[in-house]
Amino acid sequence: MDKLAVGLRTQDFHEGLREIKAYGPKEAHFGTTLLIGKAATLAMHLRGLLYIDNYMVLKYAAGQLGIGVLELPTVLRELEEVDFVSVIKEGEQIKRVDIRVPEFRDGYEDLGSRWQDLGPSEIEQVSVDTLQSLLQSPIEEEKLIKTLGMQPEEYAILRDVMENGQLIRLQTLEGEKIIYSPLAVDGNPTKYLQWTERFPSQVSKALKILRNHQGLPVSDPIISGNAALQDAVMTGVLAPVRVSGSTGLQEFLFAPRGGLASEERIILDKARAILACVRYGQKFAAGRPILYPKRILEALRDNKRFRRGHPDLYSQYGVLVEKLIGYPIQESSDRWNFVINDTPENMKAFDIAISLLEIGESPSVRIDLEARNALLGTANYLSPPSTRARLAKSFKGSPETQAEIIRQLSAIGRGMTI
Amino acid sequence: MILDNKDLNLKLRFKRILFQMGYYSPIEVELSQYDDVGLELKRTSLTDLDVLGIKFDPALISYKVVGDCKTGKGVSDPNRLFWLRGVLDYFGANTAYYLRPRVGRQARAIAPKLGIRTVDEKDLQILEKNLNVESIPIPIQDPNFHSQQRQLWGISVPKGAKPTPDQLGLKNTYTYLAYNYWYIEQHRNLFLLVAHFQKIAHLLNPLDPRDVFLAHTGVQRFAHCVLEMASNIQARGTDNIPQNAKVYLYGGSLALRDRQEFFELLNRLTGANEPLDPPFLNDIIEFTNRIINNPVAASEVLRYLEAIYGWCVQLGNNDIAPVFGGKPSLGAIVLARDAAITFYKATGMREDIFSKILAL
Repeated sequence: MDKLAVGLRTQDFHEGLREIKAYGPKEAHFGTTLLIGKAATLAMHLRGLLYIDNYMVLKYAAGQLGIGVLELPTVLRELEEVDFVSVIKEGEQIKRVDIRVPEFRDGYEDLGSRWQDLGPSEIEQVSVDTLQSLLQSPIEEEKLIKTLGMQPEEYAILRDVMENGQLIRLQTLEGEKIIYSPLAVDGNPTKYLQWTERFPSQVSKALKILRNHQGLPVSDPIISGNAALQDAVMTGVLAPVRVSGSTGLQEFLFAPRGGLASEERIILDKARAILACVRYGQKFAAGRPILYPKRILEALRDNKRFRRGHPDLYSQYGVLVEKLIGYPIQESSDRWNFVINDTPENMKAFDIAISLLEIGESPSVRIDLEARNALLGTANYLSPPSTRARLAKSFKGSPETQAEIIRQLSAIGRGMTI
Repeated sequence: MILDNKDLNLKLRFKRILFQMGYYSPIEVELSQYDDVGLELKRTSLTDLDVLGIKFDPALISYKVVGDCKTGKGVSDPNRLFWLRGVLDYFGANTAYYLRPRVGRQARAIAPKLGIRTVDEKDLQILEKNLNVESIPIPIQDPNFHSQQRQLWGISVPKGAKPTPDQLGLKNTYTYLAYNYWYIEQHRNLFLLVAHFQKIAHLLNPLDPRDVFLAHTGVQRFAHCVLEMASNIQARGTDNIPQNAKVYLYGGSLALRDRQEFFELLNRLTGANEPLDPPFLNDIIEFTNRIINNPVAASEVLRYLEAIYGWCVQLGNNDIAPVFGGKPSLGAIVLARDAAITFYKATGMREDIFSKILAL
């Protein structure tokens, strides 16, 4: 598995399991994955900062991100290993954290590589690999067990941990137990599973196409020539974003992304709308097409408007008005510009749109605005008004996992551990 | 020997003033010309510049000051001023200072027309007082302090002995830093500087003060190169920093395209897969991005690196705060560390050669 995917999946594990109480199988078998996942989440929030000289703020932000105060030094040490931070100490106390998280290359590869260097357990390796493959397509449970070739108790641990983290879900479809990842489903999982049943050999390829071309127009020959994708649009498995511009109405497709909280879902929808508008300018402009979509997105994010107005902007970016991302302003009799509402949510949506364009995934949808604001010094970390307490959930283990825990504990009790 | 130089006191006093004004200021910079002689390039010394001051403002625009310091009697002030004007133009400096214990009336009349400021002993004292230079704890104006640095510069070969191949390698780097660096087009210096230090990295010993001084001079020049690049990128527009960095480093868009085509051809011919960009470039571009995004702190980095060497390495202090009135810029310290880390990683030097910077 490539390092980029490993880095991204470790973060999925951390995000999925962060609110689950400490539990033997999770802690014993997923240590490396959770550690690197935590490092990935923290790195994403530190990106763009130069240093943090208030360790209390960092502890607060880390806590928001599911990194406990006792774990933080270990997570920072991992970030030091990949040269994303330097921790400056005064005696035993952390005085300052200097930040060098790269902005022009993907840090997930470095973290994926570090995960491999740390020698993850076999269960971890199989779990990360399984999640990656379930993001491509679901699989019958029986087939998965056979493919993995694991001992039943090991498989039980894998399934329990991943189910508790909402990384996988089991659903019975026409008498078959199917395992899928909620992270791969945008809407109704039943519709998604029925679709995968209809096109078992094409789903993985179809989703790969969407990940490689986020915001692909429905009218693109790639889609019209792909029965699976056409079917997904027709049956509502994929919900295209509609943009009405100067050359007519167009629809744009995105790879599904599930497992998000409702506020994260809203921001992802905004990001998709932004990218769809830019794709329209790239593929269906009446005049000169957009050549460098990433630059347009970055310029809009940084300058909150286009450098120069354009006659088509009024209609082409209309969908963004509905989503409260911005509003058009008239610059001259035939030229419109588009002003972005400078809110943290909108800026986050732009970051997500850029990562969708660049790596085909949207890890930055997980950016916690409260943690980020604390790090930027724009929030009073002592009394954040919008902080919501998160209730730690208890782990729901299967009888097989419980039996395995008892077996392990008994071995320790008998002095029979090897 | 430097201590015999009668002008030295004046140069060092001016250097201290420039430090207080925010400048990084190498002194006794020699300007050379290189000519083809047979198969080799031969260096000819043209003239030397007493004090050079370089600083960047928070918009990352660079300012240069040149200073000519003369104490001798047999000096024609008008001749010197016309010469100084030439040096000012050659260096693309913004201002030139002409420092003499006494400045003649004639010279004072010509100086404004040539865009030069004259400073006599009285003016110098007023400048020193107004700028409160006495508050700087580093003895920049002390010839002995300066001499300690000078004695660490260059290879040490016993009389009558021949330099070893390793020493000759080091000598090349000294020559580059002392002469070529100021002569070569600025955009080429970053790659050349890294290449020079890559070649000698294995020879540098963090316990040898001579090597530590060389490495610190290297990181100061490195920061200067990156600031120049950041300034150029800022002027072109920051919408595509990696691309604009390459356009700068390779000498313009056309030159970049030529080199890309050259590498394409090379790879096609040889079946290799050699990339145009050296492996360390991405890290340098990331560092440049941090410079661009933190311009106020970045504008101080050169001066901080110079102060860290003098105050922490040479004088053995651990805290840089007293040099900056007890309130140092944390951003500048972080970027100075960043410069050291990026530089030792790019060159393969041992990180503990910068232990004093990294400890801040």
